Amino acid sequence: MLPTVWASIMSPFTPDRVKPRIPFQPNPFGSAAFESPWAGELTDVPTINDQPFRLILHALRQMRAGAKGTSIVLTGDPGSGKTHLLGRLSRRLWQNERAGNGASFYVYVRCNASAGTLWRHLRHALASDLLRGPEVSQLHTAFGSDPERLVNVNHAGVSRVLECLRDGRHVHAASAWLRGELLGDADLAALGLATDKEDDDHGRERQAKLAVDAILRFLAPTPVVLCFDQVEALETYRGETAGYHAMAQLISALNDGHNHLLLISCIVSAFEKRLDEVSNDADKDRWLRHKGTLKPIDWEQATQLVRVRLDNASQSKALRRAHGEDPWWPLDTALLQPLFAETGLCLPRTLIRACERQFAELLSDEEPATPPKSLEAFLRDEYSSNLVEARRTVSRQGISKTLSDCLPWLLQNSRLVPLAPDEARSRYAHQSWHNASGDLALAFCDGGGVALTNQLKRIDNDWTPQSMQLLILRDPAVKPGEKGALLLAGLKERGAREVHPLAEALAALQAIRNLTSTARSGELFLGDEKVDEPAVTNWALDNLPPQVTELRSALTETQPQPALEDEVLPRLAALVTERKIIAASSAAHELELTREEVEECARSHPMRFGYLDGPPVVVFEATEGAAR
Amino acid sequence: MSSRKVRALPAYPPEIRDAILKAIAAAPEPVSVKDLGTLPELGRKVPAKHVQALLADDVNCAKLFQWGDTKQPAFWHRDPRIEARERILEIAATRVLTPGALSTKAGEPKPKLNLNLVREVQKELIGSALLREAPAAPRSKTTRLINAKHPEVLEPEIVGLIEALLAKYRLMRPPERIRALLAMEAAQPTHAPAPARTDDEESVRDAAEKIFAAMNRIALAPGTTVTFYRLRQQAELADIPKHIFDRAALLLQKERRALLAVHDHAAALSAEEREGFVTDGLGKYYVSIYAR
Repeated sequence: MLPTVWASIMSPFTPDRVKPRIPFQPNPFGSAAFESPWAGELTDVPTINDQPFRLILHALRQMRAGAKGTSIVLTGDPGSGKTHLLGRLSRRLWQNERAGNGASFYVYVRCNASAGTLWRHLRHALASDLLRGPEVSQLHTAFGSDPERLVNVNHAGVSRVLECLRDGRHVHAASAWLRGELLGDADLAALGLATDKEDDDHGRERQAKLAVDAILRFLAPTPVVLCFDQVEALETYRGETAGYHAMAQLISALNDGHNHLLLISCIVSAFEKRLDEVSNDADKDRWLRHKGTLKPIDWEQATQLVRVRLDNASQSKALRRAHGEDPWWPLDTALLQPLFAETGLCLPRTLIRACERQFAELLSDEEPATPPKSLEAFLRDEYSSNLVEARRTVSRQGISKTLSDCLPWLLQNSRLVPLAPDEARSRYAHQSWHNASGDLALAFCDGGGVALTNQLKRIDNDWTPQSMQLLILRDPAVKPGEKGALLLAGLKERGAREVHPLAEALAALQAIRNLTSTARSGELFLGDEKVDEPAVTNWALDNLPPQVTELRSALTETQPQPALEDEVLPRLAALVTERKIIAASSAAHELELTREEVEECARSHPMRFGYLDGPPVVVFEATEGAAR
Repeated sequence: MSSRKVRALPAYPPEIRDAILKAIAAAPEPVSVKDLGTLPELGRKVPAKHVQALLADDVNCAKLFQWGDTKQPAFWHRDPRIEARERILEIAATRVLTPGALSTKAGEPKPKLNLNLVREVQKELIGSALLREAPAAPRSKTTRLINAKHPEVLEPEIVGLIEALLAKYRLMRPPERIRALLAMEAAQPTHAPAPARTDDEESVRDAAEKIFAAMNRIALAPGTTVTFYRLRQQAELADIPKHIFDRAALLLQKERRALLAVHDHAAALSAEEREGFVTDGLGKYYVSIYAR
């Protein structure tokens, strides 16, 4: 589009331009980062990143014509519009379906997982997205389009659960199971499923892979578009490469096992070298079958982008009509042109942020401008808002996945060094690290009952105290069965230590993980300033919540736990988790301890228990509010 | 409210502008607005002022460049500043000229460059030490300029001066011996001034062409990113010294043939990892390159 007021608009030397004032209204440039393809309306300019979009559509058309699905990797600088493009795609698929141009399923996976949890992560995203949709759930659409689909499913659990969802029975439990969440025995019985006996991560990953395969079979032959966004978030700490190798294997397995999948992976250009370094060439070739690069935009595209955004500003429509020939009004192009000076191009997000700032300056706002936040205050606020979601995530995904995804960051930044993978060790430990006092094996215990007993049995068989120290991380509120308790006691006698991470410590680690991943992908901004990953890491390390510090000390210090604490803490924790609040004397009676032992234990763990001085002395479950 | 005066441009269909842009992209030299306005593909005559207005956006975002002068403007896809820079350095590598003579020589060949612009670029080159001052010629007071990377351009003159000086003392030495003496001095770093860098504009340009060709050859699809990690594995690029390679990659971006993808926080990476990136030496690191 051509601006017509050349002299006044184009010249940076315009004498004393009078800034227009516009009525107070929502800033049309207020959302520079497109957070998720499912998040609301999309302001779109189709000519931007048209080439990679056409590449995707072409692959989809090929699939519809009978070709096998493929994999496309999209690279681009932060802010070049990768997530936005995935949003455009979801909308296009939905429009196609409504117009009768072919059905498809759309799944969005933000890759904040790790090498050992990728299949579970995919299962969760796949199930979650099938259970939603633009109007009705995609699962509902699947049943509507072909009621016989269930015949293709070769997994008894998936088949049973899909039947429940189709018939509207036990919907919450069935949805949770499909997403891979841990369910109680009663829920499993209601769904007609056996109790989960998988005791280790490998088993759970295997189960997740089987469930994903079965769900994808159920959806076949309708094309399924799986969008893996922020692949760089697979690094649990900066420079970790295991996630990329696991991702290449996952893509390869999906591609080999199914013909109806279009796999799209988005990665920030800065991390593209990691793809080059994937050692298995066959996996790499399957992953990098096609590639598209999202480019910065030129002035013409910028004009279109700004026009679309400004046209959405409802309260300045009349004013804009009066300046109908100027797509940029009320913005001053002379102030935006320097963004294009170096290369003639500019990243969409950079432009939108500059426009946002200019638009804000033009608003007739009586309120005094709020002073800019310090980096410290900004990160504190971001962390707090992440923490709310992280608590939900942790309670949904359990201790094992959270620790697999988030603990490496803490340990690597505590000067521990990860040990190379070892098959013998992997039979009983999820992770192994070297620190000053020797080598550490970490076993994460999620379940209770049979699953816990099986896991402890395996540890008992495969671990030798001479090889390395063993730390068993588990929730003390989950009581082991009789056999499990004996095995645990035996392991501790042989030198293993039990560590009980607080739920709040796990949530804090998850929140930090989310924050660092966002920064790594170049999505974290304080005003115009990009906040990078090292800044977030430094801030998080300087402001570790006490629950995380406690966990770190428990993992890195070698002192054995006092015998009394070892005996009382898990039992009291289990009781208080169940009752929420209990008098110390009643707790002592139920646990067959003295009241002094109960009081001593509760007082020594202020982050775990609330304590009210009596009489009577009362012990209660510490909530995050009380703990903080 | 803005108080701008609106003078509307007649509505031209977008094909008009596209045809003009195509003609400019294919032109071997700058095209005058008059010629652009009378292109047969346009199907009508477009006044010079309107041509300028139609191309204003492209000029503003540096997709096109204005050549000629205000009376007879012309447009081309090549940046006149880059052209001026290359011409000046090329001439100064082979001849020792006064600043005035150098800028005139650089501006003369077709397409002619605006003399003021050439002078401006020449000043920048002096400021960035790519041009170096040399003493005035005999019977002149004006210092001259040479390409700082080609001090050998002074050699015939120095040989002549030494020869004349020795002759004054009745010492006759053939020019070959004097040249050998100069070459020996240059080989002794302790006595020599700051060592001259071995690379030159030519080798940077040569490397840039190799990078551009390799990038286009190994990119999975036209215009997609290729990491420098992969480029460096190509036989023809493996042996290029890092500083030449980096300057060549930056040159491709500067000439708007390619774009470089920046690494946001390379400073936090190990020196070894950073070594694999291209750097501008000012703290910016690039990880990959792609054709525009």
